[in-house]
Amino acid sequence: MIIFQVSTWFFVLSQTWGTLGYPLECKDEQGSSNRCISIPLDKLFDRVIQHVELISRVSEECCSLFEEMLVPFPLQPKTSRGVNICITKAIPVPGSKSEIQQISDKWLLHSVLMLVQTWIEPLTYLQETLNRYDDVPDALLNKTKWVSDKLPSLEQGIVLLIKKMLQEGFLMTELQQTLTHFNKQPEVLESTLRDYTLFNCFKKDAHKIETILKLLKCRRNHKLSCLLY
Amino acid sequence: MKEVFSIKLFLCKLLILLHILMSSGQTPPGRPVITECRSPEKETFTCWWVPGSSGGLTTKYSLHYKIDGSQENYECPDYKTGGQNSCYFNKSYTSVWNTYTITVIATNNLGSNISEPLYVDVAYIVQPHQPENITAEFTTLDQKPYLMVKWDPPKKADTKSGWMTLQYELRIKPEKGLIWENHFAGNQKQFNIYSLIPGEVYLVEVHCKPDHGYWSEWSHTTYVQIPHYMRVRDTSIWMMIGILSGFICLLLIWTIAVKCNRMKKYLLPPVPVPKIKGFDIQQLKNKNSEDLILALGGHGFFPTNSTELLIEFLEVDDSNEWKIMPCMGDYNCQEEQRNAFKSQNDKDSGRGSCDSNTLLLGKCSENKFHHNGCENTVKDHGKQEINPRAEGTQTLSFNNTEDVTLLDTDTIKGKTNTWPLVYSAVNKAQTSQLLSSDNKLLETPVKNLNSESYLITHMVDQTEKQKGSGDPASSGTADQCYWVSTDEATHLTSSKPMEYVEVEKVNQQNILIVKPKSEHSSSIDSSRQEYTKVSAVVNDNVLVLMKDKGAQCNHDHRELPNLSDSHSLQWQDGKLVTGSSVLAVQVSTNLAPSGYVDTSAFLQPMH
Repeated sequence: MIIFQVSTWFFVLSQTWGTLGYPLECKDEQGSSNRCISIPLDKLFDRVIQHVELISRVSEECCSLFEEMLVPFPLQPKTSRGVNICITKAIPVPGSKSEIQQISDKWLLHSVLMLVQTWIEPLTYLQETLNRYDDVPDALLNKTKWVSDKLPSLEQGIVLLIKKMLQEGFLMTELQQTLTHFNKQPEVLESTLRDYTLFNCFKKDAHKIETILKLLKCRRNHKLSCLLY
Repeated sequence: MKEVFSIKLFLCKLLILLHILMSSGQTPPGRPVITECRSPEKETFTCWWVPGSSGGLTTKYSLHYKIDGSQENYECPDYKTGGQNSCYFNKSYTSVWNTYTITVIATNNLGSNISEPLYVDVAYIVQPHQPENITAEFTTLDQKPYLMVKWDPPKKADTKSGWMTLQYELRIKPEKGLIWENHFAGNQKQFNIYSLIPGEVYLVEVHCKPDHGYWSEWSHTTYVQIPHYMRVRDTSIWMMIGILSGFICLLLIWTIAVKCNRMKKYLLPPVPVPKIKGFDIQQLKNKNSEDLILALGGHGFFPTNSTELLIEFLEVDDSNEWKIMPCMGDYNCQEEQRNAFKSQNDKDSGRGSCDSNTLLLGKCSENKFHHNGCENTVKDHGKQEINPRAEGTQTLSFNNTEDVTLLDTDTIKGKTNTWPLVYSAVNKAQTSQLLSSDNKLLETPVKNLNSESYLITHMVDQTEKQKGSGDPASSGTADQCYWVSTDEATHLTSSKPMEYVEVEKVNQQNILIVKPKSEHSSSIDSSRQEYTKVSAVVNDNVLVLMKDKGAQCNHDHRELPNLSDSHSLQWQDGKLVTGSSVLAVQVSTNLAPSGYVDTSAFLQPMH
């Protein structure tokens, strides 16, 4: 118990440290250090969205590759497919467009940020567990590694977005809840099933992030740009 | 009895019932299969199933679903909107990023059957509708024609809010074509197509796909007519063709201009002109008629009486080697030589050669001594080994139809050469004078009679030289044939070079003593000996030579044919005079160092 608390605290601190570690952008106000050039918001949005799109596509491929790998295995994963609960269930994102459009930008951005931050560690775990399988295709390993490397950069981008759009600092709320959820999972589920669930959930969440960001972009800034699509 | 009857009745009923049952074939329903679930805009979705066997009874189908692993079962809210065997989930029932577990249950009176579950995530089953409002417009930009195709996304797909992002693809083909040409357009709603065939009708279709989902159906076909325009490729091709053809024309014109003459000759070949032996067309062109006549026969008039003709045959050499003109003193030999070599094409030209039987002098060794100034001759003299006769000889012949023939027919290499039989050593200077005076005479008709045609008379000392049997010439009677032969050369051969004879003196008996001077004097074919008969000596200084019957003299030089008065040459103090016709030849009193007399000129009959 004590170990758990310490580890949790440590984790939180590290997360905080991570967020603190991000270099604060040049202050927009007149004052010191306004010589640096910051990326305009719409371009930042585009880059973040492109990043998320790519991650989403790769996660989809990983999922299909993992399913192919599990074909000789018993059908248990498929039957219990709907049963699994994603680790990020605690982060509520509504499932309909109308509902999402009613949510504020701030909340959406924070949700997205939480999602990204939640998935960094599980992906690292996935990357390690894949090596324990016998006939893992190299493509799956590479893609998983790639995704786990890209998530932190995505996180940075979202943080920047938050700062630019909302002029806020970092947040560290609700982090604990997500972590607790994750820690409870390993005991319950079987390893293979757990991995499969992880892949699926990550795929969904990536798509969520992508959709939300696109909505935010078209809603918030330069609405005319979305008319082209 | 009654129990038996009741039992039987019961059995009969059972049997009937079973029979009825068996005949209808009713069974519990077969298993339905969910074919697909599709969402057009990621906000609603519809599922379709295919029923299994009905089992003969009316079967009722129901769809049930669970969300995200919760055990709560829900039933399809709408069975009608989607059509037969479908279930439509509207917006309120659709939650994206939640996994639906959908099953269909078929129920009939006898039982029920459940289908395989289908796991559905709405985000990944999106198949939008077709793009709408497709327009294709033909425009040109900077003279580059292209087709601009525009379209609108399907109405239900919400792309403006960013909820959905669609990617488009269009395809195009000519009306009569078979293969579609696909172009991926990305997220944009317009596309430009280049490289079109002018005058063609094209078919255009567009379809779209969400970032995660299925391609839509192809839109309705749009027809577009391409107007006739000039393609850059066509223009450039025509330009290239034009330039190339112009270049070829210029080349042809230039070639024709340069090779004008040759073309004329090729296209219009010259008409062959009859060639007469001994006739030089060039000379005809250049000289006047008098020279022509002289060239022909040396007469100033046409001979009327053939018997009176003293036709002499001259051998003329037309080879380059024998371009010996007597170059003496201030005589311009080079020029003469060049003139002499005007035309050498005539194969009939006689050639005086060293090889000839006739002791035609001049060329061979003579040149060495006399023509210092004539380098050409000296040079050519070195080529003497070549038989000049090989080039052909043109025989200038005027026939003596009388029995006296002065001919020594000689055939060399198939050519008949006639050699004058009358020779006499002529002073070179005289010869030159002769030649110069009668230059045309000698030169023109034969064209190659550029050499000194020396008539060498083999004078034989009567007592000395006498080869064979024949008696040498005896002076006096005209009937006699004087044979003149050199000391050495007792017989003359045709192939041998000419012999030079030097006149030493005239002895008391009026015999011209001649000494051979030729280096090449060697065996001379007896059959080809050519002698000038001295018929008589008159006045102490006139040597009467006779044109004898050539045959007799030739074949047997030892014979002494009769002299004929009618045709004889007389030697007169340096002149050689013919009997019948005196050819007054002016010969200088001074004999040439070699003492040669050219009697070729003397042979010209003169009346």
